Amino acid sequence: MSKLSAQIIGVGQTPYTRGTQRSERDQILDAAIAACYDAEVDTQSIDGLVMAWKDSPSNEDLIKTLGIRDLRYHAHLHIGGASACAGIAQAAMAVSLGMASRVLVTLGWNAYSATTRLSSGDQEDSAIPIPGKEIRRNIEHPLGVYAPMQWYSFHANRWFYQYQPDPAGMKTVALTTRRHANLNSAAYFYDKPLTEVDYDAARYVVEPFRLFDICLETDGAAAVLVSQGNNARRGVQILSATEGHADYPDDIMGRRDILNMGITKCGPRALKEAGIRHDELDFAQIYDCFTFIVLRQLEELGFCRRGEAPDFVANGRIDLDGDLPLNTHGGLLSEAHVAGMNHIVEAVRQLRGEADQRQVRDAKLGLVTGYGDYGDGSVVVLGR
Amino acid sequence: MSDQLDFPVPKDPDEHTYKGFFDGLQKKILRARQCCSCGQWQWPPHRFCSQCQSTEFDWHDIPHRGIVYSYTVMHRAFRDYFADKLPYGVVIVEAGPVHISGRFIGNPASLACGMPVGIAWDDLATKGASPAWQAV
Ligand SMILES: [Zn+2]
Repeated sequence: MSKLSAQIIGVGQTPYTRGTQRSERDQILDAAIAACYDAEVDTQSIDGLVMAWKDSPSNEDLIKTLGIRDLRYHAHLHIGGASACAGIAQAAMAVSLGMASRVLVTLGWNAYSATTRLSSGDQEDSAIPIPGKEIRRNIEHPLGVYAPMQWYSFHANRWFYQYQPDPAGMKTVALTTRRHANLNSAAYFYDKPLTEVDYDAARYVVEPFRLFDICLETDGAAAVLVSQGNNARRGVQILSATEGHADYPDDIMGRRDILNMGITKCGPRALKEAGIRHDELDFAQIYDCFTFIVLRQLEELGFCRRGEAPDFVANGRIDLDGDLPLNTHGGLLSEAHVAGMNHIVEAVRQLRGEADQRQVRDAKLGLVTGYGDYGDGSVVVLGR
Repeated sequence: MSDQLDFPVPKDPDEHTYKGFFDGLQKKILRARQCCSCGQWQWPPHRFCSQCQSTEFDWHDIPHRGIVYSYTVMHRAFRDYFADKLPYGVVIVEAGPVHISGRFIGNPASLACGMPVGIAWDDLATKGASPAWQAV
């Protein structure tokens, strides 16, 4: 069982847009301030910082912005979209050990307004921190392989071959999470419905992914404030927090077992450490850079066997009134790409009962995943 | 090899952990690294052996035939060079002890995991840019 004694006491976010005048650094600072205000704590009392994925703002920027009097702990994480949940783990560990008492975890990026987009071929001199640059430059780029959607298409095509999952599962994820975004006024696609006809009519970008199998690129940031104990009025308890890494962590094309990933290792561990069963969860916010990777994570987490996730998500199971409401905010596919920090923010809102039209009834227990780079994984289980 | 060429080339083919591979392509030989002390195969290259941490490696031939472990078909050109070549296939081939990637020569619609392929010594391959595979 997990020895953590930690709770999330505040969440904050910026508007999620395509196009912004504000720097990535300022967006993240804004989200950090918002999380402190949400928690109703004095910004100067923050004594720990975890900067997930992005290194700017630095700890110095945050000290000056928040007026922090005594920063006792800080850490940086660089595992792409797995950095958010892994950052919560760092914060929870720090407060549980008494290294710090209030730790802010921040993440944001101007994915849309950046000079290099991850959906483009402009990765050669990209400032986006991606591991294994020699492999990219010597092996992948000469083949025309540049973007995450290409790396993961190899994983998806192998999965379809080896386990014969129903391809319709990807559509179920895309349409269901869009419906959730249509109930979330903060979502980029709030007033944009997606029909089955739209989905089917969309072109392939990289097989097997059609346009709506691929996440948004937006500008924005989010932050979460973690404190000691489990007694805050609106506190959400961190029941477990785990991290896991794929073999061949900086390369997918050379990986002997392409289906083996970080979540394969840290997913089951998270449930075990939280001391819960799958069917006790009231919702899941699953990292969704692509529709298929949601299905794959459900399998590796143990909700079903490999190849069965499309059947698992069918028949309304992941709807708001289903057995396992999934990505209730719309996720990266339809809310915004805040590298999964928005998934944690949403989980907290659901557990506090503050999710308005998209509230899952009587939500008490939720699971959040992170997924980054070449298969890094992280999981947080939250409860109230 | 220079960046001025109009086809995509490796950035640093002469770096010692890669040189044997790209030199091999120009001689129509496919090679990967094998650890001198424990025998573990290594591809793509890394300075250290993950099994015994040795930095001594030899280049050894790997089979010129294999089976497609997985593949992608791109309908978007991520670089201008590929714009008039879409849809474009790239394969991961299980070739003896390693998984090795390459361009796919042939109709991408025919691509499937498990399909037997052999190395294709096209222009880009023998210029030392990247390997290519075709159905056999
Ligand atoms: Zn060795």
